Amino acid sequence: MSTSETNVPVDSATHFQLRLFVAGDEVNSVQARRNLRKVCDELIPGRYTIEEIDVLRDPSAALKERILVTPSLIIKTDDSDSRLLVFGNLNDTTRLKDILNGKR
Amino acid sequence: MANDDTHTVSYEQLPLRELMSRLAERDDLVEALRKHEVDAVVGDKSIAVVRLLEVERELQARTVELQNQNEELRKTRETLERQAGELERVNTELEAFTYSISHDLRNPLNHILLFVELLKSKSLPKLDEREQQYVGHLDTASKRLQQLLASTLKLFRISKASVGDSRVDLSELARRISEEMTAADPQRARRFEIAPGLAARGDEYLLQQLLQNLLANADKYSADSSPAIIEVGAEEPRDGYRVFYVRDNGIGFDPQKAEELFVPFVRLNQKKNADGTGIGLSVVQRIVHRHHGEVWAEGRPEEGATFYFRLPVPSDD
Repeated sequence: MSTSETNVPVDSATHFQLRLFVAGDEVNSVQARRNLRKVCDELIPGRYTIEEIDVLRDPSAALKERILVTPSLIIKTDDSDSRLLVFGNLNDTTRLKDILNGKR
Repeated sequence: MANDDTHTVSYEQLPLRELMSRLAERDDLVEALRKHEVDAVVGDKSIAVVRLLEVERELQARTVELQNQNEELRKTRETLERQAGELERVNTELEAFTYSISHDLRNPLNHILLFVELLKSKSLPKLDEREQQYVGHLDTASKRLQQLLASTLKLFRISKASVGDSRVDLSELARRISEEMTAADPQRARRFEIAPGLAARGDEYLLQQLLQNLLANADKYSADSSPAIIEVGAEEPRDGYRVFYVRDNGIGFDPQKAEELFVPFVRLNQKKNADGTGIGLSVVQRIVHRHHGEVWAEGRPEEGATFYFRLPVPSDD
């Protein structure tokens, strides 16, 4: 996929609202939690909030956001209405980094 | 006519960026699923926690473990089988050896017995008192040897006998044996209590020998009890087998020596009757083993003894 045409530079002040849907302390959820914080501290330090939702405790929140599986990460910026979804334990951070860098 | 809510867009107007994002998301989801990076699936009514990768790993670990255990078991079984084979071979050789010794000794022994008899009938008056005693010892010892050889051959025959497989009424056998014993010694204060309807499956002749030996044993060791009570009974049948028992109120035995009871030629109560060679219970044990059963004894000094034996029961019982 070409990145140049869709490249909308992310303002260095852009704030990211991250909502991570997990399933308790299941292996992939724990990994996703750890990987997400690491990437955020590296790329957008101080410009993010992470809200963590345990679907085992609060299934309705998942249904409301039409979350199918965990771990799922919803990424929103305060300057856009669109939301982006990332799935899995985030061991592969390529796509997450692209999004945070504003390449997608 | 077009509905007010419907509106048409051209391809140029499609939100391409949005579309690409959704496609990327879809690929991401597929990839996450493919790599087993998902741990719960959220449905309308329930949440399914999935642990595919973990379960797979766990299964694999267990499979390897099971394979190792199987391998160990196989090796152990092979070792045991080999040892069992060796034991059986040694046992067979020993028995054959015992048999041939016992058999071969009979001829010279018969000569000794014959010449002792001749010595006694022809020469005894010519001997002095001390020499007569020598002949007496010779007589006793050679007869004892004869008994031992006969016992050994008897044990050997039981080991080699073919074992019948018919319904045997143990109550009836016990009743007949007890009548014979009573007839042989009517003065003795002795009571038999034989439970009715005790049936086993096996060889009638061998089981008769078994009861004969157990009843004789019970009788012998309850000689001082008045009245001697000899009981024949059984526990409830289980899994095609039934535990029968012969109980007496005699002198009993030291429970620590319960195993030794069945060893040929060993007597726990030395002072008791010197007749017989001490193979009665060995005979019992061999007969039970030939029926794929077990035999064991319970008792305490001066509190009687109970001999249990497990035998197959007829299928209609």
